[in-house]
Amino acid sequence: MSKNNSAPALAGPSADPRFRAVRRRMHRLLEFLTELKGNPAALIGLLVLLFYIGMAAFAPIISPHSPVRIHLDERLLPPFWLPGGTLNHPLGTDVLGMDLLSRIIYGARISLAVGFLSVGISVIFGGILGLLAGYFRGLFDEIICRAADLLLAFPFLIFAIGVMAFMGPGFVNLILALTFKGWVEFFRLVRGEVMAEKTKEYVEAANALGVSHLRTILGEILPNIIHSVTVLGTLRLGYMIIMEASLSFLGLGIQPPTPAWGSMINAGRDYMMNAWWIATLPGIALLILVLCINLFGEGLRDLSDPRLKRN
Amino acid sequence: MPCAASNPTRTKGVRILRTAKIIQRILATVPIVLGVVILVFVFMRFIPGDPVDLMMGQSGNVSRQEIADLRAQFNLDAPVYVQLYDYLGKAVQGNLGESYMEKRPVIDLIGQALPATLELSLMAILFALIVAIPIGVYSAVKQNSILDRASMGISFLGVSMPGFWLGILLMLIFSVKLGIAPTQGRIAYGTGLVKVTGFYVFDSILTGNWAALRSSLAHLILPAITLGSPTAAVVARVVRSSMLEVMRQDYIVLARAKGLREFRVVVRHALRNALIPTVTVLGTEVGALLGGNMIVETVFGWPGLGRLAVTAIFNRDYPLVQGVVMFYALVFVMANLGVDILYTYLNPKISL
Repeated sequence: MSKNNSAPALAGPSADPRFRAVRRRMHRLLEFLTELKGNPAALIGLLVLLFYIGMAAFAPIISPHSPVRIHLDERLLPPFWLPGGTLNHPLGTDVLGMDLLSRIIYGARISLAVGFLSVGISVIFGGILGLLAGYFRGLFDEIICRAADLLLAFPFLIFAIGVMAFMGPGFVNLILALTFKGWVEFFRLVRGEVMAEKTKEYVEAANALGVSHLRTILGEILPNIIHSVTVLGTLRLGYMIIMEASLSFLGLGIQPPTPAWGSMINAGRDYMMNAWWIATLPGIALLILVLCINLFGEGLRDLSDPRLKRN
Repeated sequence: MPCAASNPTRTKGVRILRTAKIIQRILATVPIVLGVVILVFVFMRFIPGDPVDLMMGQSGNVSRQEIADLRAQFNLDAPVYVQLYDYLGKAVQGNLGESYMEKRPVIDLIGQALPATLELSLMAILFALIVAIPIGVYSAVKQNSILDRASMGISFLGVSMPGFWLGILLMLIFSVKLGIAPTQGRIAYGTGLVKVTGFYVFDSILTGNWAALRSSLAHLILPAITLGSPTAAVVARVVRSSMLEVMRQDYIVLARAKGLREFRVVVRHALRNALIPTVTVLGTEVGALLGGNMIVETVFGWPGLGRLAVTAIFNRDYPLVQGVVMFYALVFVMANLGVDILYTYLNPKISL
């Protein structure tokens, strides 16, 4: 009854399907933010992540110095709160006199870029394979599953170290090394979810109506599993960032003087006695970022898991 | 009512089922192991320039004849599938090739570094369990108390903490500032330790060398804490959540109704069951421990497999890198196999 009454009101801009879709999305976003308000830790996590993204995006504007400018006369300056420190270099300088704050700000670019790219490519690659394998099964599924099993036989870091050892350091190789194995988890998740969804009535109904396989996969199944992929993706983001930092720390990832937190920590190891800040401060930046991503990821998981919601 | 244990036919059936499951699991491991060896081998062949080029790069001017001889010596002039067959045949016999740098068999170098890594890993697991299980149990029993929240907060921090940074932080506090722990190596010079097994703690007890025992323990503590902390964080969370689950079960209520002391209910009845999921988690944690080894050994100058691999990477000593990576993968596969088998024994649901 009420539906009929409201129908004339929908005539006008809101009758446009595109407008309705945007409005629905905005509504969902608002709903999500309202739900997130009930989980302050996750909200803080999201805000800090956004802060880091902003920091990375506006690095050239907000960083006080160039991250690679060498000033040998300003070597090993302490942070401003210690005797000898200056506000010109608020977090001090490293062994080549490079400004630590600027390097930390620019380092966020590397960490986030590697994190988002490696997770993004893994999601796309693993997701497509998972959708196809879970929906069509058969020989294709069997082959991909065996390949996934094989990759799972390697501990992640060992695999990435092995690949980097063979391919050599560098940004692109780093992303390749991380995605080479990173897709497996998304593949397994998506495949499992697709197999579960496929038995449900709405998929059977779509099949009975003669909807094409592609439309069923993309239009019917995908929207139902995107939630769990987002949760896993967020949780993996922190992990990939730690992997990047670990590889750069070992000298296999991003090479100095490009500012990456892992290689900065490695460079600071030799100066722990007299300049502890070089190794410590980039580590704090890294820890806070990963911690907040994980808080946000866990919050997302709690929101999307109806069992936890009930509890 | 007869239970499973008192029914001989059923017990036998359970045993046969379990054995079949274990055999099936072991057989499933064989293609994985083969695949690991092939994958690592193929990767080796993708490196630009073959091993002889790399060796020649280090030794200056050499004639074409010498290069050809070396290629023949390493079997590099044969087709790839012949090389693979050859490699597999040798690998089965434990021959993983020879290190370019050390000019010694890879398997010997792995064997030499293994005790150091094992000692560190075992100590890390021990640390993780000793710290994590009581914390997990206490947090579950006193759910939502300040201590529960604090310990879960710390364990969350532990999961998010990059291992290499924690190591550096510990070193900064305990070695540089407080001066109570050594920073590098396995043992101080001049302790006169006679090596028997390669496990320094064990060897020093065996030979009654208490100075060596003190020194090796002092060297071990920071790397073990660094390596074990992420595992401790994960285990504490798993123990807590499975304890919470178990404590709601009827048999716990019954145990309490029988008037048993709370300690006994928690430890004998609840913890024993709550530890089953922990075993599974330990299986996946072995992977993290193996990866962590490379980092921790590099930070603390620990002469184990991880450092061997990292050094080999920088020396472009590919047979050694290949050997160690393969070894790590095989250990990981075997550890998971072991955990799965253990799980079939521990989990009553599987045996029924």
